Amino acid sequence: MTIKVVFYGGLSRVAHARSSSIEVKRETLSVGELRDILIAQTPELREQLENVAYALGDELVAPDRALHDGAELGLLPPVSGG
Amino acid sequence: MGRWLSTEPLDLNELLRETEDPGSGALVVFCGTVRDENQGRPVQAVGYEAHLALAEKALRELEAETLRRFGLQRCRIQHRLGTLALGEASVLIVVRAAHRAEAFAAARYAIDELKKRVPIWKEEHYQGGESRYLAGVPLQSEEMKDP
Repeated sequence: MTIKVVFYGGLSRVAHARSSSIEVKRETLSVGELRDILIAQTPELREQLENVAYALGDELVAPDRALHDGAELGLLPPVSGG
Repeated sequence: MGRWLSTEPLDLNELLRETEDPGSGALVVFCGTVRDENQGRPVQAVGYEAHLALAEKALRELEAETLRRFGLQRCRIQHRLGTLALGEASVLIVVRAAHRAEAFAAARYAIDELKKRVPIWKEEHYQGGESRYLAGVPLQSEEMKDP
């Protein structure tokens, strides 16, 4: 399956991209498992991803949420609006 | 211009008109503006970006919750996105209530909660083209919150 990952805020600096397409040869994949794949690909992300929240559509989801082929997962670092 | 998020300059007069209410005896406005320094470092401009769908939802919910919690007559919140010059308004909170105590408390509550739960990120721009995203507050998903 293919998942589009979108890096928000300062995460885009560390990832050197606004978004990234991740292809995984698996039938099932959770948000947390995708995070581990991202860390394996880009170890600099490890520290940043400890404090990240996950967005699917307009919903914040927990790491055990299942991902479907074609999903777009937003990675949201600590927020600083106002 | 969206109801909660805007890339255009925020318009306080429009929000005041929109929230006019003869039953209110108190009007409190909080306006956040771009400051020219942070921790001793001169700032030249500030950029704001958001997760649009989630930020709209969070602002809509925060407005409704603040209205309920403090028994207000009116509550409106708007946040600016894009690159802002020094002195420009980044956020507006307009609260109208019967009396001043709940109006002050509600405006304070709304801005404090906005900073904790709305997915917006601030990037400060400095002299020489350097810039930095500010450290923030981690978001919590509903699924991860304690019941």
